[in-house]
Amino acid sequence: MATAPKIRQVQLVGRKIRQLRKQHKLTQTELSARIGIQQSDLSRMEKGEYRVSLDTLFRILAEFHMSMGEFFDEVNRESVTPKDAQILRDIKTLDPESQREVESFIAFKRAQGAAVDEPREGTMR
Amino acid sequence: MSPSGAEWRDRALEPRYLALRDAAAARLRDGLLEEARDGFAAALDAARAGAAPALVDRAFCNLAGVEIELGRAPETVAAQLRQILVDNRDAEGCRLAAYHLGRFYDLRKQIKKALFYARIAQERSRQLGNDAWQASSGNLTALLLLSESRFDEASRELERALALLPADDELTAALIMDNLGYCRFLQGRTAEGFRLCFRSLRTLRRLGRQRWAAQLTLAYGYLQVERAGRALRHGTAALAAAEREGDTTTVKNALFLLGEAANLAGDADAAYDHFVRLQREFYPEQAFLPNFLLAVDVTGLVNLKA
Repeated sequence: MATAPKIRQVQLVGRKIRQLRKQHKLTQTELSARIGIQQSDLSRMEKGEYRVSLDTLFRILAEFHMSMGEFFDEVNRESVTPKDAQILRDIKTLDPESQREVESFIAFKRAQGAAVDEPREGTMR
Repeated sequence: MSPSGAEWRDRALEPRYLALRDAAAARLRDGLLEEARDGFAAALDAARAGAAPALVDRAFCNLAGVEIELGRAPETVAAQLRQILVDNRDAEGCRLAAYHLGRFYDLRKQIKKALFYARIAQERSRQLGNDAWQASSGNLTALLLLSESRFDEASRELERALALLPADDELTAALIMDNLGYCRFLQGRTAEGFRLCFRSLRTLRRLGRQRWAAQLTLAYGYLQVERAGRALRHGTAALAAAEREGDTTTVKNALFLLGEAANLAGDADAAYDHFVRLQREFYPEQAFLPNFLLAVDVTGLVNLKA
């Protein structure tokens, strides 16, 4: 298995927790009671100022039945691997013209793959 | 502090009490908690037989302290310790009661309550003019502040505790240096963090003490500076020792750090294996964790001392 550079996001994780809490219509008091921390600590965590034990962190993730896909813009987990996420990030660093070239190349490769999959005339038995 | 003669109804019992108490304290220093518990229980019996209430309070606090560390103290013990604080018969008994109440709530992860009592223990130690007690109470306060992610305040408490600690208490100094080293890593002062952690590790090794906590802190430090090989080496040592001693919190943290270190080293298979083991052994309901940890770096959210 190859490694993809990991996504380092303290603030993003905090913001995401806040967003998910609101989506689930939970107040800070309600969520903090469920996961066993103080409301003020959850508030600091959402701001990226508070670190927690592994137990608490994983309880929060489990509270939202969170998968990697759900975490990143609610995309289905199975459809996005760490490598996929890295490719997407790499593409976003390119200028618009280069991004169009990548899209054209992907379209070309897909067309090429489809052509290979189809039996050519004269070779059918 | 030795009890004064006025604290005994039957002075003949005093030597027996002192011998039992001092022997139990020595067992405690050696980490022999069960033996220390039995010794302090016998000392409490001796105190109850012939000592004044203030001394009985201290004897009870000593026994309660070990039972708390052993995880065998029920809520009634905390209630008795609180009563000793309220009765306020003598400063030493109050200091002991406050310190052990701090530990009682610390172990139950009721950090704000624990901090309240640790501060009282610090203040009583200051009133008594005992530097060693101020240092141990300060270390407890600092650990609780660390749990609360109040790293700058924790650092200041640890620096004060180190300065107050008697020179011959090398074990406590090593533990404080490990905690301060962890703070320094979190504060981005990594060179200082490494110096403190290695001093702690060397002292613990020389004293023949368990040192997996210091090794875990070093693994964390090396991850911070992206030295994967060294993080793996210290993390592996911490994991092996913690497994032998049944310290599950350290086992969890070590598996997590080893996964992170393996990933940093470019070995995603090994990283995945560590994360899978972490999930299967400790979080069996959360099957998403290995993939999640492979993709998202949560080290910035995790507090190893919480």
